[in-house]
Amino acid sequence: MAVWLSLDPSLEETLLAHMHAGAEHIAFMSGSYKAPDGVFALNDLYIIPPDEVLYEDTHVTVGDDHRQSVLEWATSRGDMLVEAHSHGSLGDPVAFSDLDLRGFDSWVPHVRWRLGGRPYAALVFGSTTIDGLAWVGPSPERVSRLESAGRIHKTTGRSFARIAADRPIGGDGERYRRNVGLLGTHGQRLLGDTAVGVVGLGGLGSHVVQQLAYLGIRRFVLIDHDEVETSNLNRLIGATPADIGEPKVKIAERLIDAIQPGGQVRTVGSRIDSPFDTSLLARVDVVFGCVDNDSARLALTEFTSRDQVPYIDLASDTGRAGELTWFGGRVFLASDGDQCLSCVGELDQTALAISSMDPAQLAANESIYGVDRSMLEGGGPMVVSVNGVVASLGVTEFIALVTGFRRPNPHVVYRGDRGIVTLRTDKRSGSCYYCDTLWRNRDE
Amino acid sequence: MIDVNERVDEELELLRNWFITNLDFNPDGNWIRIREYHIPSDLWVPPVVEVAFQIPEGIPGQAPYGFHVRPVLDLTHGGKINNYTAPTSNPWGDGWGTFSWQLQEWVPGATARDGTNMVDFARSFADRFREGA
Repeated sequence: MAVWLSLDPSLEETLLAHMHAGAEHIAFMSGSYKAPDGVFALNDLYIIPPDEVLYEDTHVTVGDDHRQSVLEWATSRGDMLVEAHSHGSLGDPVAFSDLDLRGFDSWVPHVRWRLGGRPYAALVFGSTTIDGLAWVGPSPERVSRLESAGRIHKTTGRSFARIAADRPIGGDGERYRRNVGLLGTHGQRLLGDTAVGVVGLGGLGSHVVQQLAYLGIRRFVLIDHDEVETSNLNRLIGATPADIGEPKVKIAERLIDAIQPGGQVRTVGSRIDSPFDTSLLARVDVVFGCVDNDSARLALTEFTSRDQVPYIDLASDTGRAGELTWFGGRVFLASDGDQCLSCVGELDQTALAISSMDPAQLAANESIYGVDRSMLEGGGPMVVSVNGVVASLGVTEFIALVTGFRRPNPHVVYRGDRGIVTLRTDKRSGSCYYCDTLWRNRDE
Repeated sequence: MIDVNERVDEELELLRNWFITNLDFNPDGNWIRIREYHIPSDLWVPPVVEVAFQIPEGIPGQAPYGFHVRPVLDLTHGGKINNYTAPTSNPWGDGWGTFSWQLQEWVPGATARDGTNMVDFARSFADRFREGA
């Protein structure tokens, strides 16, 4: 599982200035580890003066006196440690060198022994990128981000990818043997290291969590405010008549637990467009939106752009065009600030306007246009197989995104009535608040 | 919503720059009031009205929609006003009429200045008034 580092804002400027000062530099940070969120909260900084860094043939290190001082510094506080060094002018995207990785094999067990078994982490800084590894258990894990005062520095993930490529899957090897045949050991490792948020645990989301759990995902954040109703039982994966009245997040949690015993599942029984502790969702690597309204989609677009979390939006729908009944759905991937639901025009502005009206405004609107029958009927027809196809398409794009086994398709459209799947190439017009302002400006 | 939308502040600043002192803001619902809005006197009675509208909470992904007019309007030559209902109310009290109205195209940019914005929306009310009924 990935961990992330939260740096006290008063230290950020000093650390970044030191790490980007040209030559290769070294610093240590101390703090505490907050399980189960996987957060290293760092509140102090120990700078190794540049003239005391030891430059060897291919790498930099610190002398025994500084090593001893740093260990005593952390021990006296009861803290864990994070080391950081820069690669100076070496190329981005940055990763630990082979020498760095070999050095960890001896250094990390030693320092953890000296610090009473506390977790340890290491960061490496390139000119514009960072990467990191953390040791909470016996094996290194991926550091997903360094965050300070709301600013996010996402890691390249290249160091962990190199380690993952060389590591066997271990006891789960037989279980995932058929996955590995397609995705490789490296891909399966990356999936096992990925934390996923799923918002909406209904007809689409329940398919998604089931597939993710079978894939080997073990860390979930599940968000849904709804409870199981009789009319859900035609398509809610994992639900039985005995579950009527139960929160949908509990059904999903039970399903995951049956497939992945010991997985880490956090559940939130809130609407995505109402106040809740969003920090849970900020710590996942990918968010699935399986919601049934564009107000929630817009909230998820804003949130995932602000926190630079890839967002996979799923939608299924039915309708009539003249005498023809159509049904199907779509998968939309927003990542890297390239495009989002807003800038490619995938949000229904009329639905957004109506969803934000108060009762008086709704009454005024209805006096002009009349009452929308679809609002009265409480959702259109939907069957389990259509949701299953859309969810499967979405999870396949997720696999592509995480493992890189092929390039993910940003917009996939399923027309069930015609039995076809098509790929759309969206062109956004001009700049975008969510892609250019919220997502891309975060690292500046 | 998940977070305070700083875009609302940006849009408000643009509106204040455009309408100068002729504008009031109520943060409860992001309501804007323009105290004097001149409309074609050959079409409408009265020729000067108050208009009010909201900056949507979801801006810029959510486009603005609809606006209020006070006093309740009449056509100079009589008749029914389309896509309009009265009386309605808003934070500045009763006695308003409401137009259903949206921009033909809402293409917001990275900043409020870069694309379609609330000033464009407020200025577009003149298009609606020029349509008459």
